[in-house]
Amino acid sequence: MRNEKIKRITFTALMTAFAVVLSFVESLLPTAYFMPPGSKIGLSNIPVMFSASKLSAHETMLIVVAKSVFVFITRGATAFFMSLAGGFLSAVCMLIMLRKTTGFGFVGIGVLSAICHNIGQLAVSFFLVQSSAIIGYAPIMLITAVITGFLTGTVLRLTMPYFSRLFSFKEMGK
Amino acid sequence: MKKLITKKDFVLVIIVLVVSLAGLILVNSADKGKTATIKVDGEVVETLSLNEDTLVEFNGVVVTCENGEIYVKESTCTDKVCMRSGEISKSGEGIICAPNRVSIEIDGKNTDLPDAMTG
Repeated sequence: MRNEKIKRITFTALMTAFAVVLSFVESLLPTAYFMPPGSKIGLSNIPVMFSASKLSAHETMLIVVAKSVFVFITRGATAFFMSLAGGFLSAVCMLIMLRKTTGFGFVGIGVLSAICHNIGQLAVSFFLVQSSAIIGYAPIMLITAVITGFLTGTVLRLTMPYFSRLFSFKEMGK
Repeated sequence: MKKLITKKDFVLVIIVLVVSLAGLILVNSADKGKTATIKVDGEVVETLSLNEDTLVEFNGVVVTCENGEIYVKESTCTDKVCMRSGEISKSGEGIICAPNRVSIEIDGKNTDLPDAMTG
């Protein structure tokens, strides 16, 4: 029992570190010319998605908050609120979709959680600027969400067996 | 374990792509606007005419109007999304700078309508 708890804490910490490192690495990459300004692949969503399927909801949210705090330190308050709102919404989406039988595969989960992330970010920016000008960003953000969601979903599906082998604790929610 | 891609995923991707492409076409097919509204914190601070070349600054965001197109030349924000948004000129297009809470919107036909009716 005790051993189980230690495993979970270690795993949460490892996934947090993973998310923070990927988020930093991503900020160094240039944005592709066809993608909207400031858009990211969302690589740090991969460890969050993995936590959402293996850990509990509150452990997953802890990772989201920790990642946002890192964003606050490196990129400021606006980026923090966007990261938190987007991260929270996408984590809720992942938690539901990875645990329930919805008929969606990893690509669908990746795309939907990327869209949820965008909705969170757009909501925060709407709150900040209070202008309908942000709606113009929505179509290109959706297209980007499809591309990045496909990528993150695929990477998660491919790496899942290795992660699972590394950390074989009891599945959550059972 | 769940599958990598299912029929539902495929349908989802198609729907999202169709909706976003329709949105893109809608914005791109709009006519060129005549005026642009700059807001700070949701409050209108300036209305620019796109016919005149101007350069204004609000909250650390330098907005430039050149040849009927508006773009953000300089900004004090960290991510520079506003600067990388490029030039806008069509009705309904916009640029935002969330950290500085500045937005620029090209006015559309809808905003002209009340004037035309009262006039």
